[in-house]
Amino acid sequence: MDHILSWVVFLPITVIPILWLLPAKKAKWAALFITIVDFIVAIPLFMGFDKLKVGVDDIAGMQFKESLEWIPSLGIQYSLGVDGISITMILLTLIIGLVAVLASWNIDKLQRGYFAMFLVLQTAMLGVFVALDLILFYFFWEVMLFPMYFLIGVWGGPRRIYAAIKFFLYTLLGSVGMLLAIIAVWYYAPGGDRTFNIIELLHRVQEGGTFMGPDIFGMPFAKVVFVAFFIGFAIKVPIFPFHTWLPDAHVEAPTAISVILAGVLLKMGTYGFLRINFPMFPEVFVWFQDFLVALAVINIVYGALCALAQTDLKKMIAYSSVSHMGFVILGIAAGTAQGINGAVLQMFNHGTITAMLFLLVGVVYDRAHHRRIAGFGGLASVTPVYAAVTSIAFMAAIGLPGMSGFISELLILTGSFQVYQLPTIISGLGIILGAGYMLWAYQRVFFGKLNPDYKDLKEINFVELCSVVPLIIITVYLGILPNRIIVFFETSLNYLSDIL
Amino acid sequence: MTSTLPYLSYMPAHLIMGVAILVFFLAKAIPGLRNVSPAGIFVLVLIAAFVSELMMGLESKSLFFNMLQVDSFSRFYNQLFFVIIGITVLMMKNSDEMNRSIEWEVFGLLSTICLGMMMMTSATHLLMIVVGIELVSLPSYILVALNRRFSTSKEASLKYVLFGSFATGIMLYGISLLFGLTGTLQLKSLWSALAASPNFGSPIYYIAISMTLAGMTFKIAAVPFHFWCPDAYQAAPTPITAFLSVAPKVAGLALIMRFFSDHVPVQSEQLSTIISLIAMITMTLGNFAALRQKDIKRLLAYSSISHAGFLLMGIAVMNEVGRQYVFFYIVIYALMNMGAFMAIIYLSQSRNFEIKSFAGLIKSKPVMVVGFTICLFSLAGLPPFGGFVGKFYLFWVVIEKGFWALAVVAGINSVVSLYYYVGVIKTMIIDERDGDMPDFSNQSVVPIAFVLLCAIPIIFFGLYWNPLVDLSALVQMF
Repeated sequence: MDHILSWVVFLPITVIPILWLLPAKKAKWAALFITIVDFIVAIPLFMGFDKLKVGVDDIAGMQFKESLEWIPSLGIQYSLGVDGISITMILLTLIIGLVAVLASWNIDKLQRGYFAMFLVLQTAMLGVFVALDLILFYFFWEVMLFPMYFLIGVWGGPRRIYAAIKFFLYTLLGSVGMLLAIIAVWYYAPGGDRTFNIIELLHRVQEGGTFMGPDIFGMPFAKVVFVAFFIGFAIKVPIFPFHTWLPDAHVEAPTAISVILAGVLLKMGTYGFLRINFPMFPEVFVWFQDFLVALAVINIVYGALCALAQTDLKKMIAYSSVSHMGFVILGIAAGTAQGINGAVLQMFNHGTITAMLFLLVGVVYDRAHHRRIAGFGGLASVTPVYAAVTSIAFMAAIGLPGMSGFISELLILTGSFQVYQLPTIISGLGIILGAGYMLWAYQRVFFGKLNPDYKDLKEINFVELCSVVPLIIITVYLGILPNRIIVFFETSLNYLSDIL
Repeated sequence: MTSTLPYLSYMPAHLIMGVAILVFFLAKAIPGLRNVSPAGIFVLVLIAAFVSELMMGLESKSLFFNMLQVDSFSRFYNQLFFVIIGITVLMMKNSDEMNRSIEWEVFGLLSTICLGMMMMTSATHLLMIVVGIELVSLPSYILVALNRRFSTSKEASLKYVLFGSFATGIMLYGISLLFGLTGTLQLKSLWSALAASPNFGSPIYYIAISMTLAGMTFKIAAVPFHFWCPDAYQAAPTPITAFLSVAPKVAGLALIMRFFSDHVPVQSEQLSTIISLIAMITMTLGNFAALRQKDIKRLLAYSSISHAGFLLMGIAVMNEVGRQYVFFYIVIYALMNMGAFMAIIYLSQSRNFEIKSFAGLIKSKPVMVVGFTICLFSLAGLPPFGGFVGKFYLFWVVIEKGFWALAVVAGINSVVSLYYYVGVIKTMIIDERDGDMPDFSNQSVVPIAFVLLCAIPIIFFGLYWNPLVDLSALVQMF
């Protein structure tokens, strides 16, 4: 099939007009249908993907390429393609999208609007991971914002308006800087010929070209542009001190949107690092490396400490995301092959595991209408299946051997230990703290004396199980056979670690 | 002495507009005209003027001893004015704030403003510039005071008159200084004479230029001549506000571009600095003042101040490309601002323009609210809406010149502006309404169709803006 990437990206929004033809209650079926179809359409992508091609800065190595003139006067192209990094993220986005539709099953307010926004978001996320043109990338990146604003703002919790606008402003602030950086990169592209094509730019940098821009505010051009990109992506990850939007957005967002936020959106930041930011300025990256490691360690330890102090389950998981994304940064910052491979694996694993955690919190919130850890107790005796499923998810989040999280964290730590011993040791603390807050929370919610208010709590239902079980299977499967996913990206990433 | 009359054949639209002014002011004295719809005549006049400008092609000609210059630049802007005025007439028909008995006079005033704006886009002589500005200003004062029964209208109009005459006074003083420095009032010779004069770079040189600029910045409501703007916009009937927020502003920007177009290279850095400073202050002040507004018309007034600041970015670079992308953004700005005002005319009830009164309207008028939301997101400059592309090009020309400070200030400002636009969207879509929904049953569907007709090109240009780039490339001064 030709144009398979375009199909995968734009299929979700094609059903939006149909939503208004259906009864409001049936809108979710249309959304479920199209996410499943999208998945099926994408299967040839994964089957036909040539795992030995590098990609990254080699246009011949990008697969399923599509290219069309879009705005010829500026040389902006509608240019799509995938390499090992993007294909992994596409897989993650499709899985999470499907799970999130199931998690939205109980939405009862303005269903059509909800699923319309949801599908726009899905298209934008898929687009970010396949765009090879900076302007196209920026378009998808920004188009994500307004559906997200409405999804949090209309369907969220009590402080939703505050959380939604905070998310919106934070991300926009980062992306405006990124836009300026994109324009600057275009003007001072190495080799003279101006282009927005990411792969072409990376290729020229690899051939020894540099961005010959003038000093900006008395600082070297490359450093300023690097930092502008970095802040844009760092806000999305989020990296300390830009992380404060995350707990608010997570806590107020409806379950499905938390799942998407943690599962896919955060990965866009680190994807941006690997796709654009670091390989485009390899020299500045070396200059920045130590600082980046420090930020990663702060993320890991600070995130874990914050998680330990939370009384709200969802907020605890939100901070655990901050901590786990710190590992991704650490792996990338180390710049070794193992570190970067581990980082991308961790991106995938964190996506699936955290999605699971948010789904499970959503289950109990739907029934109890609160998420205070101290407000529960002894739930294991009323809802044994739920308790069992949750225990698996929590173990996965802790990084128990045999689960996927263990492999990726191990890879990252071995990778970074080769270059940064002390920071790696401190980061190990994050894992210990992680076990601490997870187990402690589990104990307070499921064991101990049964809170009499919840003696009739309903067991996890079929739809909810349908959304969680596939994720558990993935987690365990990749815990035992991690190579099944590593093969997709290792060629690309080994090359990337060489050039950084 | 040569006859100047043949020159008139180069400016048919001016002639048509001139005749229209006479007709409208004398209409009530002409028997038989009383029963004709004035709006119909006015729309015909606008169409005739539009077509006649279109027929003139892209030819460039200097007229009346270098007093006026007609070229593709002036023609495209004039055509834009006709369209905007046509939209204003449509708004008047759908607004409950207009007094039908004085329609003839209102159209007479609008034709006068239109003629003045056409002078502004063509003027190449400082005295013509003054005439053009005054021809726009004087009728505007009256239009703001159309709601005579309200004391706020009178206050706003008087404020407008005072600031206007003050600005013109400063401008005339500046012009006299320029004349004293160079001995000429023609823009073509003025700049080279200034560069050659012994006072080049001295305080008097800057004072003369800045003072002359005052009259023009007054028209675009740039800081520090913006104080009249929120009051006038709030007090005027909404269609007039919509008109004032776009057309005279565009004319003022066109005039500033014409004014600076003949500068010599040695001056470009100084002039860029002056305009950049005005741009930065204007957009920042406009935006931060907009944050506190509770009245939608005042909010859009401040937003239009900040947009003037953004548009000045394209002028600050002082080159042809910058001017073309100003035109590009102006077209999109006209679309989104007119769309937003039409939505306000439709959604607001009995002169209540508080943002609060729009709460929860998505439930009763979803299509209108979605159209309005698209206009607002576009004003905030988010992709995939046209406003983003406009801002993108302004950033683009500014970065080419290496004006990093201007680019960063503008970037921060577009983030700030998002907050208040989204505030309006939030009120309409997220907030619950306490109390009854307003009754829209007796309103026509024309405004809804119009807002959609604005929203669709906004999205189209946001995704595929080649046609507009090609059009802007034709807008050239010679």
